[in-house]
Amino acid sequence: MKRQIPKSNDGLHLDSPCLIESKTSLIMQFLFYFLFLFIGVSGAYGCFYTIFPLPLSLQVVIPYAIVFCAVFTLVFLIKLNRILLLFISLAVAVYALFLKHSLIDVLNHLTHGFILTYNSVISAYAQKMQYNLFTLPIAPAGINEMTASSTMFAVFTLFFVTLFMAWMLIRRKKPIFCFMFTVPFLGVSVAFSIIPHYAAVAALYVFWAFLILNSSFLRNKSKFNKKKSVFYSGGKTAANPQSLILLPILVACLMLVTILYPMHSFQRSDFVKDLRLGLLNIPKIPSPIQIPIQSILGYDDRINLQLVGNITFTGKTVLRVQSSSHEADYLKGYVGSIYNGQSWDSLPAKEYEKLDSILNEWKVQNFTSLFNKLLARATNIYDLTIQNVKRNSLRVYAPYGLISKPEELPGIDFINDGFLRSSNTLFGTSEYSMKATTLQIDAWRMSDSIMEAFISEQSSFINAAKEYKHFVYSNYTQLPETLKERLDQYRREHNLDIEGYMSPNAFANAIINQVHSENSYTLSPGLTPEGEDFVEYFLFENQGV
Amino acid sequence: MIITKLKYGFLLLAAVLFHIFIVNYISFWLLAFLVMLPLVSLFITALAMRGVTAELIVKNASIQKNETLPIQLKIYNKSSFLVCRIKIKLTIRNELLQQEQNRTFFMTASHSGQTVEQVISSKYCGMLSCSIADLRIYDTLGLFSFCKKAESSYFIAVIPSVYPLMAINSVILQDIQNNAPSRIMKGNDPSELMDLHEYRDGDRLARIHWKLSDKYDQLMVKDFGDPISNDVLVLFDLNGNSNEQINGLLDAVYSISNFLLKNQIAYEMEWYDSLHEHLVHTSIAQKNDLRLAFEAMLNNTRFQKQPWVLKNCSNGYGHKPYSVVLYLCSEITSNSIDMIHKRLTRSQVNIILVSEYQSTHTDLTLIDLKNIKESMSNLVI
Repeated sequence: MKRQIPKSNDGLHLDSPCLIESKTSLIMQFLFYFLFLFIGVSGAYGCFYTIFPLPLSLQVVIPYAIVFCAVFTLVFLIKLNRILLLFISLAVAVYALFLKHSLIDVLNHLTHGFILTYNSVISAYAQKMQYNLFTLPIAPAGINEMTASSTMFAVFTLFFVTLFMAWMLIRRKKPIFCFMFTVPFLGVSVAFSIIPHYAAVAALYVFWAFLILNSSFLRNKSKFNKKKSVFYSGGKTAANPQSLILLPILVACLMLVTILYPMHSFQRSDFVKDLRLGLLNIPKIPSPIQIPIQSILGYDDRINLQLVGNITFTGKTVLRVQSSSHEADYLKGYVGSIYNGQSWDSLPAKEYEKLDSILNEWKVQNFTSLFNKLLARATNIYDLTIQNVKRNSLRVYAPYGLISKPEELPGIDFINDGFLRSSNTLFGTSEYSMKATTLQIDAWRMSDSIMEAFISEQSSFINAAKEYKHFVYSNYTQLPETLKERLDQYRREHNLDIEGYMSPNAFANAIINQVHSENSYTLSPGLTPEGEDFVEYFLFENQGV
Repeated sequence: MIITKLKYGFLLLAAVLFHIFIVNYISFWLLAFLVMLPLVSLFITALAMRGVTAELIVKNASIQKNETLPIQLKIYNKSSFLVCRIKIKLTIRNELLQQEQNRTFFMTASHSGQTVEQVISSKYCGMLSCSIADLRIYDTLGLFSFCKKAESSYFIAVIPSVYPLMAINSVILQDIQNNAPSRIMKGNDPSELMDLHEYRDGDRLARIHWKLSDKYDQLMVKDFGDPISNDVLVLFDLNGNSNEQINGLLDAVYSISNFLLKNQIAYEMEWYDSLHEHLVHTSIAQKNDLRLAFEAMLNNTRFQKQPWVLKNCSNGYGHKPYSVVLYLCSEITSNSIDMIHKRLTRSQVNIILVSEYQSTHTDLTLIDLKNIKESMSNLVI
């Protein structure tokens, strides 16, 4: 056989290699690509449609998804005139649609379905962003009609999404584009803390993993792809039905992760929490960027005392406060529940469930004002307006004597029994107004005889307050064991015994005076050494905070 | 595969950042899944690699120069798991000229197998060894690799060209064919009378021809002839400076060898095996002998600077003279010429220089490399 051989200097000539394709049958190729495509489409569509409360008929959508995947897989695998085949497929699909409906009905359904879908998406995002986004006007319709319209629109878009994915995967063999096309189906919702159904997420993860694992030969149409003197096989050999065995293995891996780390008991590690807070609080990130980042990515109810160090005065305004009262008051942005030596943490969720059952509709943040009202005290009620200028707008700085109730503060959440936070996770709340009264801390103490004087409507609140008081003493007086011993020793050393004082207040004042005598207030205490208890370090080593 | 490792590292980093910033189980799910993927990939590859086989298929054991030959490299996998990335390095090496070319392929190994056809050719003669130098199996993510031995190799002889010899001395041919006694050397064969002369001092009394002495009335002595072998000896030294010289020399040797066989002349060939460092002497009576001799020579010989055949030839034959000795080389010196005449005194030696340059020596025949075909055609021994 005479062939043109490229000349080389050393006498040995090697022609361009030729790949003799293994005979993968059309059926096996079809099976490979069909399953591949179906997983991707179902994952992407599943993620989208499980986020939004759209009425959808799965009995219609799923078969259509199967049919579209099968048809487009076949269209891109066989060598007949593809455009003709696509046209025939489209014609058949359109004919199927018109079997039961007229053209006007179909158009109406599609339009209605589009509006329903659009409004559903916009509403979900608007709720998260606490912004009013434009929604399209829609005529009222029954649930069946809405379901039909949404389903028809879903099938309509499914046709094009499947076509595009089939083209990218089978014809063009571009796994990276398939990945990029499907990322927004999950990414956009997760960015707004809207989580799809985990089955759809699992399907999408499996699809991505399958793309990664098969990317080495999902290259292009050429049989051999030469890159830097290395020949990579590709072409029709890309469809290796043997690799389908990876699908159940990938599913098993996901299930294994779910079994080893169940969702309901999953807790993020403290290291990750601290790292996230540290990254979010990087001072050099401009506030306009930091705030959305913190907003989008959520905010954690934890303060790591190991990161609390020197405080410096920057000279910049961070809060602008307008008050109708001339008296001084205090604002709180965060309240920690449990001290564990290095941080202030929240209570476990179960405890807050108990708290909710104790408090019913009352909020601890309003207790001061509620007690004042209960006892008919003459207090100074004032209006407060706070503008977050530089600080994180998720934080809402509220006075201790807050009067305004949750329904009077739209866009602001009452976080358990501690503090307030903006419900606009994306942009935060930059300005808010509330009513407050000056703080009176003695309202917590109430004898049983006084309690009996109140009428039943008031009693329910008082009983709740009493139970809350028990809750506070049983949960919020916890200390790390070593610190407790150390503090007991400190008390003994300084003769601070509660039995020697008239009241708890007097005892507390004695402790305060003792601490003041040995420790000082400073803005530059430095960082607590790693692993050391914050309080111990302040009291016995640093002697300053 | 550094790029694949970097890609995976980038994906992992993205998943880690996703887990750090997204406070939801979904982010941990993705991260844990991504961390588990390499383990799954490694496990599957470890199971699959045992069934991976690579083999070379070559249909011809010898080719001509510049003749193309397809080599097929087949990869298949008997296991149930697919091996997505196999790196195969195919090496084609000319053992005579010590030249090598490599081709690297990345393929998949499935049940049905994949075959690569690589067409090769060689401009020069020699022994081509085709082997799988490296067979490396990567996992599906390209993070881990395992080396597997592939013992498939083939040798393909690239045979020298044959040029017709038209002008070779017919007398020499007759001598060879008729087993004529030597016309030069005296011997002891009484059946062959070489010469008659008057008695000289030193002549043996047993050689006195009494009848002639009586007739001529003076002592006449008879000289007997020395019977010579009917074999031709072809010696050659691969002492060229370039591949073209070596190639031309082998073409000349092969052409002469074919000419002798064509004329049903059995001969002996001698060359120096530089690989094993010994002289090789073989008898050639038919084409198969020639083929075997050349295959052995192409495989075990490297071209060298020294005339090793000449230096070692005294250890080989030497007892009987040859009717014709042909010594071929690419370079020759006066010392070499003296050596050859000294060691092959009783044979008719023809020195054939295969070179592109003219030689100052006159007692040799030049085959011009630039015009080898015509030179061979006009070769006169």
